[in-house]
Order: sequence, then structure tokens, then C-alpha cells
Amino acid sequence: MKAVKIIGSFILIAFFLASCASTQVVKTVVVPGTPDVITATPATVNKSGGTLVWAVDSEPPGFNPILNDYGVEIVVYQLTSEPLTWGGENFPTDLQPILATSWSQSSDGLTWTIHLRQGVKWQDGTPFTADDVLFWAKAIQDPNTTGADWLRSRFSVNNQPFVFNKVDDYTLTITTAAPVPTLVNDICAPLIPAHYFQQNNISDANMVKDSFNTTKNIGTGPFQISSYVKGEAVTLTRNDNYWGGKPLLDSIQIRIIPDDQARVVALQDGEVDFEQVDPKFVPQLVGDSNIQLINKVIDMQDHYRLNVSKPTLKDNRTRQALFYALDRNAIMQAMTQGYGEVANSPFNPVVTAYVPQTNTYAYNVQKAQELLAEVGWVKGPDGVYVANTVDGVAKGTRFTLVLDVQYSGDLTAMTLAQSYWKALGIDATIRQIDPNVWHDENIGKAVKSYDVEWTGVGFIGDNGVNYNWLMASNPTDSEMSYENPAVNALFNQAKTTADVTQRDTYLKQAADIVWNDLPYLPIYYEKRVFAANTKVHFEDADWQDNMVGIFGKPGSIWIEK
Amino acid sequence: MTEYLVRRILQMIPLLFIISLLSFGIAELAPGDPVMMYLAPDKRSLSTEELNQIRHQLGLDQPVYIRYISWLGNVVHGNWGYSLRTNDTVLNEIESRLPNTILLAGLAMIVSILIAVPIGVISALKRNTIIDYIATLGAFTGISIPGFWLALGLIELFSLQIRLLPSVGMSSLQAGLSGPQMVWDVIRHLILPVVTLSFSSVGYWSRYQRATLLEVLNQDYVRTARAKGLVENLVIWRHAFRNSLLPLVTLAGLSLPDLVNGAYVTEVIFGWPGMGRLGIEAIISRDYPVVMGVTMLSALLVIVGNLLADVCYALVDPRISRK
Repeated sequence: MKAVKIIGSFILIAFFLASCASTQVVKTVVVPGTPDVITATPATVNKSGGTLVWAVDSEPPGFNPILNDYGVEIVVYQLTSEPLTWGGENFPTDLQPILATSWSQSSDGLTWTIHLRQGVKWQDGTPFTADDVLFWAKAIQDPNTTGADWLRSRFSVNNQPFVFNKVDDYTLTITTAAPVPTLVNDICAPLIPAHYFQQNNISDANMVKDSFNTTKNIGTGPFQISSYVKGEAVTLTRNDNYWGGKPLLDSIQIRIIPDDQARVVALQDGEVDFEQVDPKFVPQLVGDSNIQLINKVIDMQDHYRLNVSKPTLKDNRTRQALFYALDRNAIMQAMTQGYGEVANSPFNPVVTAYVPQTNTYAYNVQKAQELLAEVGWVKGPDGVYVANTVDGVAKGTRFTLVLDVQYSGDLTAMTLAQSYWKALGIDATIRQIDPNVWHDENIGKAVKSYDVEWTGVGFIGDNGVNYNWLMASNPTDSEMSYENPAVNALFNQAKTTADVTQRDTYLKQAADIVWNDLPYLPIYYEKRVFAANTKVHFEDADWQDNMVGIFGKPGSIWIEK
Repeated sequence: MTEYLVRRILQMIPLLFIISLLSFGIAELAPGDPVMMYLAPDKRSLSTEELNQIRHQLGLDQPVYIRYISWLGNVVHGNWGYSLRTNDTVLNEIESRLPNTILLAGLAMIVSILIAVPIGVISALKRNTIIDYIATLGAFTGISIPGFWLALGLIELFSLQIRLLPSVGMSSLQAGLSGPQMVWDVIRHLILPVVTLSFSSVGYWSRYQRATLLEVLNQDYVRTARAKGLVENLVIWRHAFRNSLLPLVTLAGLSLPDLVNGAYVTEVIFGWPGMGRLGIEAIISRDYPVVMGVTMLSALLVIVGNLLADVCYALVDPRISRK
């Protein structure tokens, strides 16, 4: 019995000490805008060998890179598989030769000639040739290939599929029905080996259920999948035949740890070497001498979307008033602990057509009140605005807004918006809603139920035309029910303009209009925080700003033994 | 007894059929479009035609009764369909998680019983003494502490401060581990999740054991045993204790489904690849085939668990089988 008491008090004391310890760490001040790498250890001699344990939060849905493009699987296939070039979605924004070494466009703009890299082998030893490219393109263009829908439209123009022709083993031509100046970026998706699918008689329709997707793919990249334990980890080993040189690490283990806090602890206790962390954990990590923090600006903007078909939100001056009433810097600080930048354009900074807008909509409640008065709102006796002469809103209607929270992470952003808009005189309430129900009620619907949602846009590269679904759409397809014919016309012009400078001129004009219309309220651009054990070295790994792939040269990552 | 068993097993068939019908219907009524969940958020702006094409490829364009009949027909033939999320077979998905969950939940159950029963017995025998009060306090503490808090506390203490035990996964996945080393590796990974899972059930089971033993101790036959001058130890262990175990058998039988349902919170925090995570993630992403697979499996276990409890009852208590 005595033993029970002793153990009991030991556990209590230990818990107490443990909680004290973490409280002290949290007090450490973080200075946003710190250098990229906060701590770094000097290099030691032998860089080869070792395993990097990389923690992620969810299970990859599959490994066939033309069928999956969601999140964590990109981590895997950026290590295993390669596209013809970099310079498109999920890959670094600058156009760089990978499996293609050079490309040229005919004078009429209708035919592209692509030269392939010679001497490249698939991870099973088969040489990579033009036949693989033809097979890959055909699979993407085949409507029976379940899951490749996201890529299909990029392999056609005016609903006419691009025609791929083999000239010789290392040369091919792509003929298009109309000039497509961005073709090389558009078709930036990792290749798949023709011989695997042909030898095993796997039809396009069955590709998704094949073990190439569910268990193990074959690529040309620096690492290959050696084992996959569902729910636990994907293990990749070094590809010794990699055309870009033998990678330094022996293996990379992608470990699936769904809980945010558990992932951070696993990094601190040394079970994990590298992961992306939520900025709220930075204070916990900053005092840890075994951890290096790396922060990177990425292609991601967080914003509030407004349902402009609602009578109260129809007038763009009302939306401007809502924007003026928000202290965006304070929201950014609260949401990202300072790891962000206040947004100043409807585009993300990575877009070539991005220019900071001159009107910054700086926090100004008085300006917001003036705008609402202009629209025809007057303050009621309880301080809440009431419609007086608002177009389409019955006189005497109170100004109410319902802020939809679909995910727990949205709650802070919505609570902040609620308090700012309440201070302005709008009766804002928060509604927690299941994402499935939300989608049923709003996506693709002519009449949408919501008022305000919190979401974002990003990882769609440097071509502003990719923002067409957000800025230039129609009331049904646009999530904000937003349509401005002038913006749509400018996007259509941009889409068919080969000259980048001219194209960006159209896009800049479109951005000016959208910034005035404000169907969505851009709040901040995200920075991502990565944390790694100090024994891991990324000096030559070529960090990128894209979604989750992160490294241009993963083969150069090395780890101290 | 044989006739009873056969009758009970035959009753399971219509019961499972009704359960499958209900689960399929409820899943169908739940809001949310699996096609939308199937697509990445930035791909949801596909045209209606493209969406219909995907719906057709996934077989979701058929009326609900056709889908139910074809699902049922396939299940009878051992084909549980494909996960809409990972495209692997539902059986593969379940097979890769089930042993892990049985290991974790089974061990937690055994540990709980082994600790809870003695605590319950001591508590009952020393009723209203300081020992009983401490055990009661301990039991209620165990029941009241939220699993996620305890899990994080244990990780903080044993993984981060003392650095004694690993905090995530089922194994360290190191190459070259074999035999006893591998077993030891798994055991090390098991300790914290098993403690987390056992903590509340120890409280629960020990309270139960205490109550049943106290009830038995007041029975006439115990008084008779004492009256005829039997040694107190014999009275307790031979007469009272054995009888007090009866209700626990039922409780154990009813806990069987936990072996396949998994423990979501514990699995998420410890990164344990189990059934709880599989089931919840399938529900969130409207992965109907996996949801149906997991539901049917746990329904089967509930029924089997009940049956086993009844059979064990009959075995331990001859009066029941005589009836």
C-alpha cells in the first residue's frame, strides 16, 4: 500500500514538474522575421548515409502522381517521380529542365518540339523514352482514367486534346489546335512508366485500383518506395541509379502522426527529424537547442469570402466597409504568431502580375461607417445598423451576418471578424457547420446559403490566369457568386496572349477591379514554419515555396551520424 | 446447449441483414457528396459533366437500392468493395489495421482486468477504511481524467522529460530489427497507449468488482459458510469471489467490440495505425465502402460478444444451462 502511495505522489510531482517546465518554455519570446535558419551546426565530414524521419499529419491517398494531387502524397511523389520540367502546379515556379532537356515552339505556335534527357532509367531499371511520355499523356487525356480529371483540361485547348507524336526515342512533338504559350508549364506533372502498365495489362480505368497507386509507384526520382505500412509510415530508399547523382541519405521515412502536439513532441524527443509545424508551437520549440526552425514565405493567401448574391452584401461599398473595419495586421498576428504578411493584392506575391495595390484599406472604422452610410444603412437604437435606403433590402432590416466555421482552425479567424464587425455595428454570429453540409448547400449552387467563410488560395503557380476560377467565373460556379464581365473579358484576353508582359497587363487591370469589388477580403500571405533536428543539413537542398514538396534537391539533404 | 447455440447463430443472420440495411440507409441520408470529398478543394470547380463522369466511374449515379443490392451481393461473395479514398480494397484496409487494434485494445483489456479485480476485491474487503477511500478516489480519478490529457501528460513525462519510452507509432521501423529485438521494440511502443487506455477502465472495472463482491458477501450462503466455521480466506475466495466474477463476464463480453472499434483519440495521439482512425477518417471523407465494412465488423462483434457472454455464463453458472 505504501508503494502505491509513493508511486502516486511521484506521478503527481512529475506531472507538476512537467507542466511547470513547459510553462517556462512558452514564455520565450519569438521574433518574427528571424533569419531563415535560426540555428545551424557546422558540417562534419561524412555526409553519406542515415535515415531522415519526416513526420506528416495524414495518410497519402495514393502514389500514382497523375491521380493524386491533394496534400501529403505530394511529399512522396516529389521524392520518387519527376515531370518533364519544373514550373507548374506543385513544382517550383521557375521553368527548369528535368526529364526534358530543351523545348521549342514552331513559328505558327501550334507545334512544340521536346527533347528528352538520355540515359535516365526508371527505378526498375527500364530506360525512360518518348514512349513513356506518349503513354502518360494518353492516360491523362483518357476520360476513363478515374482521378486524372484535375490534369485533363491542361492537356487540351478549346476542348481539343493536344496531340503527342514520337519522333525518335528522345524527341517528341506536341501539336495543339490553337497556340498555347504556357504549354510546358501546363503539362508539368510527374511521368509514369508505360512498360509497367502495358506488361501488366492495366487499363486506364483500372489504374486507380492498381498497386502502383495503392502500395508502391515506380518513378525516375532520387528515392524509391521500399515499404508502406498503412497508417504508420512510407519508407523510401536511395535510388543509386539516379541521373542527378547518388542521394546522400540512405532512406527517408515518412511517418504519419495525425496529432499536432504529438508530432511536435516526437520531434523534441528525437523520434522525428523534420516536419512542418503550426506557428503556435514555435514558442515551445524555440528554446530547444536540438531543434532548428526554418521559415519560408509560401504561395498561400488566407481570406474571407463573401456571398455577394446576398442583398446585404451586394453593394461593393458594403464589402469595402467590412474590409476597412478589420485590423488585418492584428488578425495576421493572432492567426500566425507573426509568421505572415498582410495581403495587399487579390493575387499572391509569387504571381508575375502581382503588384501591391495602392489603396491599402488600412484599418479605419470611421471610413467604414461613412461607406455604410453612403449605401443607406443607419445606426439603430441598439447600435446595430438598420437598412434605410439600401437597394434590395427592406427598410428596417437589421444588418446581420452569419460567419460559417467549417473546421476548428477557422474559429479564431471568425471570432476576430465577428468582434471587428460587431464593433462596426453589424450583428455578426458564428455558425459551426459540418463541411459536408456546407459543400452541399453552397458548392455549384445558384443560390448559396452562407454569408461569410474563411479559406484561402495558393499553390497554383506564378501564372495569374490560374486565378480565373476565383476572380473570373459565373454566379453558380463562383464560390462568392461573383461575376464581373469586365474581369471575365480581361482574363479571356490574358489566357490567349502569348507575351507574358502583355498578359500580365490584362491581369493587373483585372486585379484592380477585383480589389475594388472585393468578393473576397485578402487578409495575409502565409509563411510556413519547418522544424528539424539540428543534425539535419539542408544547405544544398534548394528550398521551394510550393505546397508540400519543399525541396528542389532532396538528394542533397544529409544527416550527422 | 448445441441446439441453443445453433439457434443463436441462425438468429445472427437476419440481425446482420437489418443492421446492414440501417447503416447503408443512414450513410445515404447523411449530408455530403462523396465526389466532393474525393476531389481536392481546388478541383471542386469541375464542370457538371466532369463531376457526373466521376460519379459514374465510382458507381454513385445508381439509385440507392441498386447500390445496396450490388453491395450486398458482393459482400456475400467476399468482396467488400474499394475505399473511395485510397482505392485499395476495404478488406486490405481493415486487415492492415485490425491486428494492431486487437493487440492494443486486447492488451489494455487484460491489463485493466488484472489490475482492477484485485483493487476491487481489496476495496470491498476493507470497506470504509482508508484503503477503500484511496481506491475509490483512484477509481474516480481514472474515470474522470480525459484520455487525451493523460496521453499527452504521459508523453511529456516519459518521452520528453525522462526520455524512456517512444511517443509515436507501433515500432521504430528500423531496418535490421528481428526476433526478440523486434518484439521488445513493439512492447516499448505499446506501454504508453496501453496505460492510457487502461487508466479509465481500471477505475470502471474495479468499482464494478467492488460492488458485486459486496453484494455477494451479504448473501445467505456466505453467512452460512461463516456460521459453519469455515476459515475466512476460504469463505472469500471459494464462495464469495468466484460468484462475484459472474457479472464481470457479461461486462467483458460486451467490451469485445472495443477490440475492433479501436480508440480514436488514443490512436491519433500515439500515431497508432488502428481501426479507430480508419473508421473516423472514413466517416469524415464519406468513404462509404469502408464505413460499411467497419460498421458490419463491429456489429458482428457486438453480436458475437453477447453470445460469448451468454455461453460463458452458462458455463460458469450451471443453473443457467439447466434452465
